[in-house]
Amino acid sequence: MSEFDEIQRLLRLKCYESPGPNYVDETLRQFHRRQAAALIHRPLWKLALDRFHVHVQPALTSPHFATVTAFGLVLLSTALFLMPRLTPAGKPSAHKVVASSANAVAQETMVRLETPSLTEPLPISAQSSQTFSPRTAATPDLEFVWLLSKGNLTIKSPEPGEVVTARQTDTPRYVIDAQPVSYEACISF
Amino acid sequence: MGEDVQISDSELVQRTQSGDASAFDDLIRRYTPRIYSLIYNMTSNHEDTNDLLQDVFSKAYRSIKGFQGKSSFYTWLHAIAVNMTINFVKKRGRHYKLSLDDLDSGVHNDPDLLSLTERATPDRDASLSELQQKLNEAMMKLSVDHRMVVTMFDIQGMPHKEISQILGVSEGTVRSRLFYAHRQLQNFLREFKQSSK
Repeated sequence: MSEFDEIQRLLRLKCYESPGPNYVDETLRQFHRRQAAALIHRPLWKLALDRFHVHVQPALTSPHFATVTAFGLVLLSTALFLMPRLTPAGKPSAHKVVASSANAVAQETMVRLETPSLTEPLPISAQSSQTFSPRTAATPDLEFVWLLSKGNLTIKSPEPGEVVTARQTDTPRYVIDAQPVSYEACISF
Repeated sequence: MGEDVQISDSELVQRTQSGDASAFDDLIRRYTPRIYSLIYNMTSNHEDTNDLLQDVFSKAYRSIKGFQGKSSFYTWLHAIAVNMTINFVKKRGRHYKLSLDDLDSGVHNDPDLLSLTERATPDRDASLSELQQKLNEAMMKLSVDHRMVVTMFDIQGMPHKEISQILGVSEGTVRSRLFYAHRQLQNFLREFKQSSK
């Protein structure tokens, strides 16, 4: 027998080496313990993902559930798309409401000023008859011009062709449109 | 217990992939001895072998859903064991503690053992244990790559083609490694035989 054959026979004998008769069962028990320990110490997101794969994903892939889900998504997206556009019939839009209220205020102001009183102080915005700027695009329907005449305040409609300024036509807002004193016209007595 | 002998590996794998954990238990029972032998012949340490065996099966269980059946399940499992064992042994380096496992009772009737020990001392158990120890020591003197091919070919009886597939090398490389490893083992054991005379 050559040395090589002897070596090979020795090596073949090593296949008889075994850890013991109960080693396989003990290996299995140890494997189960490790799996249980790994489950306990797994992060929550991994556990949730596993449960999703086991319990939820099969249901999601079923044809019936997919159809119901798709229909629900279509309804939801349609509702979200149409919601801003839904307005009740007859309800005026925002810009129309502002214009009508401006007209109402102007009319009310005009009525109040038809009966001036010498003792009543005039608002500063009403004391000027100067024109500062040409008519703007957003002018209300009611146009009036303030004239200062020794305390008497008259209102008249503009003559055809007459230039009406934005300041004259606008409803007086005492705080915003008030002119500085330096810009006020000198009162002639 | 005899029931799982009739069930094929592919069926057990499919059941495991479907979520049947008991099917994987059957696979563990079926392949523990062979995987143990592979790892033990590389590490020569019982505790290290035990730990590695658990790691191998844990990794196999985690990865089994990716197993596509292109090779046999044993080849796939064997490749996992080989890679993990090589990585472990390389990381451990030369610091190891030899531990001997008991030999199965069938070894006493093996003709190879009888021919080997007839010229040794009359106490066959002592000579057998000594031979076992010396062979393990000689194996541990080989490099990791050479030790692996000797374990797979000489001890586990795997063909050259399968060894080349698992290790990812050519058959020629497997043969050359085997040749070199055998020469090394001859030198190591020659010293032992000369000293025992």
